[in-house]
Amino acid sequence: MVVPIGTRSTGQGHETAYSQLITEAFGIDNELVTVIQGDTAAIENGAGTDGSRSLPAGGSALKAAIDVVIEKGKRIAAHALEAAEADIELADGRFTVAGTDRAISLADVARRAEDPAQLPDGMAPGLSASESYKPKASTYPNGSHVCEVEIDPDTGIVRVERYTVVDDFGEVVNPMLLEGQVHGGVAQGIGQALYERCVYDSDAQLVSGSLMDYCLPRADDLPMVGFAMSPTRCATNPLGVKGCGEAGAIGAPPAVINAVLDALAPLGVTAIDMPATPERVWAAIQAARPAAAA
Amino acid sequence: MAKFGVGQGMKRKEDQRFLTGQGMYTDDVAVDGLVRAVLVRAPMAHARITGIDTAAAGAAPGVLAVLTGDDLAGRRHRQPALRGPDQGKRRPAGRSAPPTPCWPATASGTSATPWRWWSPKPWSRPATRPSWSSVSYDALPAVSDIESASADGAPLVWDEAPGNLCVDWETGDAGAVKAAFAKAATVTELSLVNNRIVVNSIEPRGAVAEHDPATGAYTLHVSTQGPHGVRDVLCQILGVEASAMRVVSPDVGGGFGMKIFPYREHALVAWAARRVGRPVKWIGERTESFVSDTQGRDHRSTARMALDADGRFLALDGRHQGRSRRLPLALRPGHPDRRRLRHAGRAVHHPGDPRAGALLLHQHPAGRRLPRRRPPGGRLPGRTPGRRMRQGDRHRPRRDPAPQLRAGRRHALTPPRSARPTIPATSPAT
Repeated sequence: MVVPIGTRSTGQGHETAYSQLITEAFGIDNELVTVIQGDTAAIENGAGTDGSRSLPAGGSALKAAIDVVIEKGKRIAAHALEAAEADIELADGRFTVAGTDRAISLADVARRAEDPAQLPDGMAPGLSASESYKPKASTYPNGSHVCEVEIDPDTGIVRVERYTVVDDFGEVVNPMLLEGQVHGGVAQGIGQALYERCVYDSDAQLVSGSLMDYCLPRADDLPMVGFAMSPTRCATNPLGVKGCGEAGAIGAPPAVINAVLDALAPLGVTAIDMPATPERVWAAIQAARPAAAA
Repeated sequence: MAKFGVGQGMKRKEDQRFLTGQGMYTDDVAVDGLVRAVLVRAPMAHARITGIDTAAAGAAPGVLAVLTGDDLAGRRHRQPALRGPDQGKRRPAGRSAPPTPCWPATASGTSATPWRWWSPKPWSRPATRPSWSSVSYDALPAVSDIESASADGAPLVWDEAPGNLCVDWETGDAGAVKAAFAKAATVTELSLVNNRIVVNSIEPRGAVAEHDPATGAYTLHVSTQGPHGVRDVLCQILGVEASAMRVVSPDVGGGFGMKIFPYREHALVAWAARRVGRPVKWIGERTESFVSDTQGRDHRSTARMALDADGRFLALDGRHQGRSRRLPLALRPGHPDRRRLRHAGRAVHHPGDPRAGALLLHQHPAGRRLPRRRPPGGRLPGRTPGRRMRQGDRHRPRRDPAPQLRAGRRHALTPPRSARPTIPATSPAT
């Protein structure tokens, strides 16, 4: 089964997730699904992948196309099996007359669909559907991040010791890929909170213009991220899914900065701007110390 | 039930391809006759190009063509109107950005991004690039951040936008909020800097363009999150129908929103492929990612919240400044701020919430990074063996590796180009 779709994976694993929707609907093996993305000659339209829209919007369009194909497949199967359409059930890649062993495979139905002579009167040939979906409303994922840091008062270096996320992303197609996106987002958020600083000089020259001058978090800067879900089905799309792409990067900066401020609170530090680099943390400690001592 | 339906933590199908070196990224696209484009970017953020001497670069071995903004005269992109929020007051109303040239021309009126480019032979990195001195500039005053862009008498990015102000809007019920704050038991206030970040996708941006003179059709392979959006903008710039512009995004190594935009380079390689009669590839280097990718965040926000004695929210009053995004062709400066304010309004229930936002046009530095300066008499501070460099260390940009090292570092794990599949010229059967 071929699925051309107007979103474009940039590493999230869309081929896998869309294949899982097909497997769920038709009961065919995942390996039989080919997902085509990112080709304007193969896909009529698409808004691309941005702002966590792929599963809520692209997945919903795919769901609509799946429903059309299943309905048409059932009509063809009913015609072939000389049964009533309402009695046809789809499971494990086969259309079966309920309560009997009379069945026809999805592949056979697709083959029949190409031959007008084997179709019910008036039915157009082909077993395919093209649907688009424009979301009527956003999704509202929500969650909570808990961050524990240790700060070396002599150097100002912040280490993230423990990190835990609990999120509500609605229905989940692939919990492993979802958790991976949260991990990546948390890494980016910790990077913004502690390391990444874009510096322009007074002539508007980018001084931090290379990976030697612009600090990205590395593996040993990051803790294992604990992750759990507390899902509530989304009401604004037929799949019940919510966007997850930005969640990690949104939640991490405030969690990290709040943890830093909590650690520094006994010294009287009440504010620090991102990124909380060692230099800034150290300076904040030094500035607060005379006041605390007084 | 077959395996791996909804809700199961199935491993990625793609990984079989990615982990065995069979990924097909834009840089892997191989077509006959391909030439490589190198962009020459301005070393300063704001300047007027006073002249370009193409003779030396044009005479260099392996250089097929040297193309400048003059060659591209007339290829301009109509910017969409600068937008504020869907509702609410805004100033100025519906002003459009000036048409942006794809490529600043010699001696053009203004230029934030004076570039020029050339196409050496395929895959051979030029031993020497044309010297920067072959482009002459009149440096102009520049602004580097929200503060300097909004200061009195700040240099203008666009003459059409006084005060470097793109849009300035407010929304909500100012009277109700004022009343709520007047009766509040508690008022909290917060100022935040949402620091600017460089996106740093692992795969840099890049594009490969082909043009078929027989049909007039273009094929563009590009590392993008949204090929249809790229197609529509290129059709407008190059004056062709959508049917004559096939845009393909092969495997993409990270986008994070940065690769959703159509960029100038997309139009340039497509146009150049037609101009030189050969397929043209441009792959950005890491430093180009730093100076030419659209960057993230960069907002200054203050917010006040009024609460009653029971801690219930009564009103929110927020002020927000942000920089317009940099340099993509389809500039959408109002977008992030509008979205932020809308969601802020929905997350809090209260009688009213005037939220003000100002979006400043900003001089986006398009320059390469600063040349390394050796401190007088001293060795360069930098990375010492066995010790990680951390933010806050004193350090200077590292010199680029020698060309011979660069050539060896890429694709060490991937099969030779000749062994890789090529992308079919026609669309897959669907």
